[in-house]
Amino acid sequence: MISALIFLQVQSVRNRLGARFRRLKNPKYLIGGIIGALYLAWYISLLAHPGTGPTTSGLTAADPLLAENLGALLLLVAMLLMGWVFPNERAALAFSEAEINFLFPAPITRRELINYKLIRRQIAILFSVFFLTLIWGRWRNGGHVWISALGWWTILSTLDLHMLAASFVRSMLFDRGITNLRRRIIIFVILGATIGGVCVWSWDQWPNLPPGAGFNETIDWLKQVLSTGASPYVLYPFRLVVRPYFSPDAISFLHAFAPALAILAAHYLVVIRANVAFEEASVEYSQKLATRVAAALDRRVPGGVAPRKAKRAPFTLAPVGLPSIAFLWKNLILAGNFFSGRMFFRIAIFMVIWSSVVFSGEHTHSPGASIIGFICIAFLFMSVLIGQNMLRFDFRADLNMAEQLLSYPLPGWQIVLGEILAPLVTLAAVQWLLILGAALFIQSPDASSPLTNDVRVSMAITAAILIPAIDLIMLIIPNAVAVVFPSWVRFDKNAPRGIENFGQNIILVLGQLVVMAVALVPAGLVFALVAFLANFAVAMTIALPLAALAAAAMLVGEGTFAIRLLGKAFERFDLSSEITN
Amino acid sequence: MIEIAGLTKLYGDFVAVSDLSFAVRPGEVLGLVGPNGAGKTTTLRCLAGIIPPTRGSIAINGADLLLDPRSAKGQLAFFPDEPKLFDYLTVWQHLIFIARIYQVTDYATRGEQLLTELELADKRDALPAELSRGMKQKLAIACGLLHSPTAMYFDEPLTGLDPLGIRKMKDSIVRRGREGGAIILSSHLLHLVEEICTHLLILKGGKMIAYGSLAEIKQRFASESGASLEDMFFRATTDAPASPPILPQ
Repeated sequence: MISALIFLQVQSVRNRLGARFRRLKNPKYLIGGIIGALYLAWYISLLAHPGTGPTTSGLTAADPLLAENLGALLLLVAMLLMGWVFPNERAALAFSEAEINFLFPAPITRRELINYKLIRRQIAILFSVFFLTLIWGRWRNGGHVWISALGWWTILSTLDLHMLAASFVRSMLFDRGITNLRRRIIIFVILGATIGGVCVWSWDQWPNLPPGAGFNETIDWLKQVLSTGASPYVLYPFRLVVRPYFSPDAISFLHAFAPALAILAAHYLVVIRANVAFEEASVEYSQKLATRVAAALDRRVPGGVAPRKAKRAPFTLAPVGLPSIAFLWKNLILAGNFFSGRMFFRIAIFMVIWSSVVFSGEHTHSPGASIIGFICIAFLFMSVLIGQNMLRFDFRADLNMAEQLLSYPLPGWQIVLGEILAPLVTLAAVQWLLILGAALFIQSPDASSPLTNDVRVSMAITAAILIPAIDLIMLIIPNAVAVVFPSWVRFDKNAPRGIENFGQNIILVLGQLVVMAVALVPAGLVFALVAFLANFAVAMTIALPLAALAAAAMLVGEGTFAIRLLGKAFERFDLSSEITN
Repeated sequence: MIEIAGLTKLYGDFVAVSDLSFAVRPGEVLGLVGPNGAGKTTTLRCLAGIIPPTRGSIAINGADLLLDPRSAKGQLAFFPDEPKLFDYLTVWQHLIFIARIYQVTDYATRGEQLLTELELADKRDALPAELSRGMKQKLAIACGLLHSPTAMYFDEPLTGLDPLGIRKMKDSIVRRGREGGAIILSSHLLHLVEEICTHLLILKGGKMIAYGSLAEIKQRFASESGASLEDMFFRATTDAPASPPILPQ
């Protein structure tokens, strides 16, 4: 029977790969595939030639024993948290809905089903091993890549089987009336007792960590703590699992591999012999997963999680007026699951009160407050660069509703404008908070500093005017891609994935950068010109906001033109050709 | 009134719909039938302005859908077989949104009426995820009817409805027709078509096989008196003679 299951797996992989290769006949996928393959080849060549890739410092284990102990400790923590503390669910093997429909009613034993899932999980593990070896392999084990690969495989396979075994044990505990809370209490009691026992046993043998110890002293102390007293005994089984990875040569690897394999085999036996009913939980899990995946791929809801509670409308929508506002209203309701006007207002009030407290009385400068201010500036820059990719409640969320949108009696530009408004408003609100934070918390260290109150206020107003206009351009770009190249945006279940999609993403990112640069150049020139000229008539603190107004007007003009063009493109949007492609 | 002349839709070299010309007058319910892949849904999507036809013209009460889409779309409603709703809007929020899109000033009164008629009044604050398949269908219909369209397209309107829902849906379509709506209904359920349609258009391979009133079609394709629409459909769409249906003992 297992041969039929292996056949299913092999054929699925073959057919999937076949479909990918056939799709390369289409030029847009071929170009994406070539770019993706070239990028991967370039990256691999960087990794393969020492000195050209990322720095190796800190990655080479100067102390193999410490590395092994730290690896064992990490594995222990991972198994404890991921297998025993965090999970709430019963044992559930992730089957697809098709697998459940075909395999569960078939005359297949539970053991065969588990073996089938383990084989499938091995494929994912082997992929992980490939990438981890690619990234870390050449710096370890004297260049023995195969040692790295087998070492990673041992660690990941053991971890995977341990998680599965833990889920089976959790199910058995559930059946005996032990709830998640009770289980966690028991685990923490055992953990506390173990740590206490280790401390009591080892206290005399452990060195003291001197106050104000530096990095090297701390590492030395950690090394002693992990290798003396009771710690080595507690970590021993975990060290056996990670030891093959840290083996410096083939001989020591072979010595280390046998016990690690024995632990892996013991886990396998526990999993395969466990008499735990996982079918019901698997069905439930698979349905949930299918719903989440469908919603995420449909881009109906960011993150793929449909809201459970209705959200209040952000404002009263009148039945007459610019229809684009209806899209703003609708998408703000969607965003309301994550952001709300009330939340922004509360944060702003909190920031004002906080800064008043910090700078009250004699305090005119606080290094801690300045750090907050600089963090605000850093987030502000990040929000300009990647904010449009984080707030996707626009065309990217609504593209699967294109059939509905196209049936509305609206000119295309109104739909485009409406779709862009909600992320624009939300992003601008976040950025205004960050500007407020920067303006409030970055104070002049002394009276001679050029960062006077006037300068701070001027810069804040300049940023508050200019940045939303830049956001408009930044948001139009991905929405334009969604409308003009919808097949490059993943919005249905059959959308492409793989190296060609990866290549398409690279092209899109580069394209976005080029368009952004081109769009910002005229506005930048206008800003410089107006600031220069206005400075003859007024102070620079006034000239800067004036220049920002002019530049923002330029950007809004560009944006309006782009929205009109996109509207025309959306009116010609041929859903049928996208479906058939 | 819906007037279609020379409607053609090509996907590359594939002809999905070929040179369709017909009209649906106020009060008429046209049944659009045909085997799978006949081009029914493509035709409806073209008529709703969702996909552009390759050739031909479509007019809704005189407004050309291609030249004056806003005016034409403002008078029609398309009900797809799978109701597409916004996951995060409640039932009532859907109506508010649609009211702004179609500029329906009396949406509150009309919305209440529709929700009552469609038995959704107690679900006005529910999200689509909290609605059954039939309720979702009803909400899509409420959204479509909010602006009082005079041209309506139903694509497989009975999919997923329970017997009571089916009865109400049939009554609703018939009533909209009697109230002067021009209705096109696409369905595989021939008994539904026979029951509520006044006219019939049979498609096969994107081409019109037959078009006329139900009586005219019967006269043309019925080999014997009392022949059902199913018999006529098989006669019209298959080359081989249809085998007689197997009836329960």
